[in-house]
Amino acid sequence: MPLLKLENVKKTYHQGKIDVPAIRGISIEIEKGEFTTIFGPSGSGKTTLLNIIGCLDKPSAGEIHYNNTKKLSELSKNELSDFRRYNLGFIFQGHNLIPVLTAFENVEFAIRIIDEMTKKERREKVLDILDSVGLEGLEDRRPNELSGGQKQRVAIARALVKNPKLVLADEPTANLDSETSEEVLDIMLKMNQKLGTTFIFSTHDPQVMKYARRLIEIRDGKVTTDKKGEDLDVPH
Amino acid sequence: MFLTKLAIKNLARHKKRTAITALVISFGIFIFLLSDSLMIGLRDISLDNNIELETAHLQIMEEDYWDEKEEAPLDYLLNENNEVINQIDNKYSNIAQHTARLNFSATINNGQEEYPIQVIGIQPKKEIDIFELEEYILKGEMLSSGQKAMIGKSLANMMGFEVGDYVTLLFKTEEGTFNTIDAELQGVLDTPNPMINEMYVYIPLPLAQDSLNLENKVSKYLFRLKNRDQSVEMAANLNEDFRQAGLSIKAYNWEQLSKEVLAMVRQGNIENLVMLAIIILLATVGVINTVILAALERLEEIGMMKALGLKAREIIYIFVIESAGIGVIGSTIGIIFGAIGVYLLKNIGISISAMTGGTTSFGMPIAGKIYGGWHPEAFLFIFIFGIIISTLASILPARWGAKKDPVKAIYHR
Repeated sequence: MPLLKLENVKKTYHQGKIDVPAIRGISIEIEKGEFTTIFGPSGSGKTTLLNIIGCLDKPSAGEIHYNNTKKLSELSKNELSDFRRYNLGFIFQGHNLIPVLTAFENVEFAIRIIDEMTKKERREKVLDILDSVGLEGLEDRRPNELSGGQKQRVAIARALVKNPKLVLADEPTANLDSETSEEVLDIMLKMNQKLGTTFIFSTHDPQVMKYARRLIEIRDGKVTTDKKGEDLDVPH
Repeated sequence: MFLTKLAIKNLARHKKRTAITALVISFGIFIFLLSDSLMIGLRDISLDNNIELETAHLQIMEEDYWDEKEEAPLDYLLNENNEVINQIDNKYSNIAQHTARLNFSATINNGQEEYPIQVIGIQPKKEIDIFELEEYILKGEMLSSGQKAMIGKSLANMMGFEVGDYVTLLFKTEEGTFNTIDAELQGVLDTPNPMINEMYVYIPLPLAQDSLNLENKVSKYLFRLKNRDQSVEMAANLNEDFRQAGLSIKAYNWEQLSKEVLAMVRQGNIENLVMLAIIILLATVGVINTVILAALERLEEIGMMKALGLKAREIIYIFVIESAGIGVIGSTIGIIFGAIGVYLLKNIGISISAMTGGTTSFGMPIAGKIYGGWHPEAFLFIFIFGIIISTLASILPARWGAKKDPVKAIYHR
């Protein structure tokens, strides 16, 4: 049973009187625990697709099924907020941390708004996830006291701390040097294997493709390649 | 709680901007408190001066005289040594002293020019038990008896009179014939009441009665009570006595007698409302500007929060609490500076000429310095008001920020 099923999803933007199709009918299924890379050049529709999967944007046509039951198009704005709050984790290329909060508080933010844990449980959970992404001892630092790679690790920890079913990462290495990019992807892959969390991340960097366990290539809003396992010809 | 904590932390993001917005609010609050304190001081001083120099605590006169008292008519007069007054004196133990006055309109003449004034025939020995006129003698001495007069400093200066000079008063008697009084100027007054300084000429009551052919007639009786707070109740009791006795005279308490002063105080209170409107405007503009700037700067953050599952109302809550925090800071600073300002106003005062650039007191019975008054309720009111206005002003711009499309917010489109 797929975690996520997209049926002929389309997205068209309207710029004045001109219609600009960004996604031209994509149908894919994502299984639980998959580590999926969406690859494609700039403007191919990767970010739009991730935004639609992440319920930040609505498709112009088509349907998205979550866990084979929930039709996301039928949810109201508030229900979509709740859906994101409890089920999804996001990692952005700009990490989008809150500058007045420490690394600990930025990660804690994601579970504070769920409010299902005691203070002690929350603290243990946050420290544990920060430790997992290699930020032990840096929990009291504010974003301006962290390097780019460390900030992105905080963003990863924030996305994972609530044990979401699905983590969406839009070009998570775009602003990082190659060494730091590899560190970040190593952490994402490790967390995928350790926690079984489903990851979908986009990239246009061919260097990053070696981390792909499933590779979906998009061009002009359409899936041109969808390979996984042995079909992938990238070195692991 | 976490969102509240975040909102409070956000106050420190742009310390200068937070400080400027808070200072704008505090400035409005400071000005309001000073204005309110001055109005309280103005009211208290005006009423005190009015009571101590002009109205006393209670007056009794014919009801028809009350209606025309500004013209000081020679109709509707009372008999001196009135039996009713003697009965009142015996019945009510809270009367400290009473006196009679006979007021009439005249012109004062120095041989070259004349000026319209109001003459007040008084019983000097009783007057000093009721009023503080004697304390304000600038030159000469308090009026005694005989062919004497006492006038205010402004009138003396304008007409060029010195103590010992003879002043000529020209007036019409009740029968409509002209008469004059030539009286030696015995004293010159310098009181805080501009009306007394400019408009009144005091002469002994018998001289007034003789000159007007109104033997044993007076315009009104004035009472000083042992406690001024009893004035309202006493007037009510007296009026009930008069009604039962079928008399057309009436008692008026000091509030009724000071209604012109109280009207001016009410006018001053309107100025306070204008101050409130200015505070609303300052706080609203400041807070809206701050929240819009904050929302624009934090668009990516707003987008991230929405992606994490925060609802629009929760994002609005963060901005609103942040603005309430600015309101608390601004109101607190305003209250502190306001308290210092009011303390200085109360203890050092401010001269009327410094306030108005001249000698006018806008008709209020005050002169020299005005002192502020404490009004704790105003402090409490304006503190809460500052916070409420700051909070309310943030709602619309916060909604604008929170309703942003998350994709556009994240990618700053």
